[in-house]
Amino acid sequence: MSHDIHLHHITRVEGHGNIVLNIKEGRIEELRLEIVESPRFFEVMLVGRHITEAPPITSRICGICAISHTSASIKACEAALGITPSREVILLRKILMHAEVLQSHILHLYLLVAPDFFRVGSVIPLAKSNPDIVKRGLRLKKAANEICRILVGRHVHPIAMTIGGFTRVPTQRDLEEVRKVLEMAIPDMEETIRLFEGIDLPEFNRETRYCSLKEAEEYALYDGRLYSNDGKSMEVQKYREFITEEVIEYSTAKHVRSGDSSIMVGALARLNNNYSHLSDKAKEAAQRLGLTLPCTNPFMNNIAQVVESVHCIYDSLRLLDLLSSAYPYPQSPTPYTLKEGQGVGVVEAPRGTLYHEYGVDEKGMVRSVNCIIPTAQNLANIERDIAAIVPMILDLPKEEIERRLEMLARAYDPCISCSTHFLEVKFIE
Amino acid sequence: MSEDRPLIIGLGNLLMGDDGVGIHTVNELRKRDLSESVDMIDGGTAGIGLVDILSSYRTVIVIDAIMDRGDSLSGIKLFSPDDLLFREEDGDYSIHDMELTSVLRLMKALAIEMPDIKIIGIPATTIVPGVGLSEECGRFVHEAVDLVMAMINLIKIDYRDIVKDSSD
Repeated sequence: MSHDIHLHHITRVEGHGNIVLNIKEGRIEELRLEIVESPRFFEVMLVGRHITEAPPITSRICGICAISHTSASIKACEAALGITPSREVILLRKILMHAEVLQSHILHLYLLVAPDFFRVGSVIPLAKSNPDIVKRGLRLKKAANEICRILVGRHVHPIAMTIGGFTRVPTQRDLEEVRKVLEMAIPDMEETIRLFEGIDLPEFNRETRYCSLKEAEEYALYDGRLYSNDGKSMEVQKYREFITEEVIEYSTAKHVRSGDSSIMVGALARLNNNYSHLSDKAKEAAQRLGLTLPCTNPFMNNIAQVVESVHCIYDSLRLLDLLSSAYPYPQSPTPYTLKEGQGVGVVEAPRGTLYHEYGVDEKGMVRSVNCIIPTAQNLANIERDIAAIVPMILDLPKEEIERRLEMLARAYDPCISCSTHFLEVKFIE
Repeated sequence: MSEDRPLIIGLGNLLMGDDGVGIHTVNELRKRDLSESVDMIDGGTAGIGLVDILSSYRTVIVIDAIMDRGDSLSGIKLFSPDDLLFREEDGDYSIHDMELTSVLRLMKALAIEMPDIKIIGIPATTIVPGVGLSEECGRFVHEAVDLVMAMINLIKIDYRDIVKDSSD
C-alpha cells in the first residue's frame, strides 16, 4: 500500500503548518510536521525596549492566551527586578489564569472538538443542528471572559495587569460579581460533563514524558517547580536543563525534548502530574468521564480539558474566599527600582508550560529574551504519535484515516488561529 | 441588543505591522471628542469573542486590514457582511475575514440578531512581525478616520430622522 498523505494546515497571519506523510508498502518513508511559528520573532521585537513594555507587548502574541503571556512576562520582569508581589496579587492572578484556562478549553471543546463527535465538518453545521450545545459553549466562554473583564478590564490584551500588581485593585463588589458569574456557570459545566460522558474516543496509547509545573499544596497553573513524570524536578530558573530546544530543518518552530524523549504538555500532562491536587468536583468529573490516571492516550487530552474546566470554576470560588477574607488588602502595585538582572517567568497556559526569560540592564532596558510556547513543545510528540498510530489504522477507509489523524492533532489543541478550518487532508496515490 | 450607541471596533495584531492598522485607526479616533456618542474597542484578535461584542450593539463599524490576492489595491474599501459571506474565493479580502466571516456565519446559524455592520478595509502592504505601520498603509489612516467620522454623522442624521418621524 502506498500513500502520499498531505495534511494541509490552513492558518492565518500567525503562521501555518503541514503534515507530510509518505507511506510505501505499509511503511512510513517520510513524516514531517512543518510549522511556521512567528512568536520567535516577537523576542527580537522586545530587545531594546523598556521592561515595562514587555507585558503589554507579549499580551498581543496570542488572542486566546493573553493572560498567560502577560502573567509569564510579568513574572519574568519581577524575577529580574527582585520584586515579590503580595499574596493577594498572586491570588488574583491565579483566578485570572483559571478564567483563561476555562475560556480556552471551552472554546476548543465546543467549537473545534464537538463537531468531530457529531460527524459534522465544523461548528457552523453543529450550530444549525444542535444550537443549544453551541450556545452553552458560548455562554461558558462569555462567563470566563466576563471574569477577566471585571478584574482586569478585558480578556484579550488585559490592561490592569502590571509589574508588581494591578493598576486597579478590584473592589469587594467586583469579587462578588465574579462569584456570581462562576456560580451561574456551574449548571452549564455540569451539562458539559454530561455531553462528554457520551463521547467515544479512539483507543491509542503511547508512553511519553509529561511535563508541567508542580506545587506542593495545590494544582499548579500559576506557579511551581518544573516536573516530569520520570521524577525530574527543578527550579524554573534551570529550565534550560529541563528541556532542550532543537532547530528542525523543515520548521521555523524549534522542537523540544526532555532528555532523549519528546514531551507532552497541556491538560493531560498536568493531570498526570498533579491529579491529587484537583478539587473534589473535578476528581468526581474525571471518574464520571472514565479518565484513569496516569493516562497515555493523547485523545484523552480533550477529557482532561473538561476536568480542568470543572477545577477552574470550583478552585476560583476557593480563591475568592481567601481573597474576600483578606480584604481590604494592600494597594498595588508593589513599588520597585530598576536594576540589572535576569529573570524567568513560567506559567501553565491552557495548552501547556509557557516560558519567558528576560535580561535587563540597569536602566530597565530589555537586552535578551527567550520565549518557549506550549504548541512548539508538543510538535515533536505529535510527530511521534502520528508515526505510531498510522500503522494501526492503515487498513481503515481513507476518510476514517483522515478523521483519526485530524482528531489526534486536534486533541493537542494547537493554537486556535492555526486550528480553525484545521486540516485539509489530501491523498495522492 | 442593548447598546443604542454605535460601536467602532478595530481588528488586528499590533505586533504584525500593517495587520494592526484597524487598531491604529481606532487609537487615532480616540483623539477626537467622540466618547459621548460612540463606543470604541481595540478588538485585537478577539476571535469568537466577537460574537458577544457584535451582538451587544445595533450599529457596528469594523475597521480591518485588507490584502489582495490579485491586482494591487488602490484604496480603502467598504464592505457589508454579505460581501464576506457570499464573496467569490478570489479578490479582496479582510485579513481577519476567516475570523469575522466565521463569527458572522455562527451568529446566523444560531439565529442571533445581527447588528447593522459596515466593514472598512484598509490596504495593508507589509504584514511581518514588527510594531508600526508601513508608509503606504499609514497614509490611509487619516482617510479612514474621516470616513468613520462621516459615517458616524450619517448614523446620527438617520437616528434624528427616526426620532422626528416617530414624533410626527
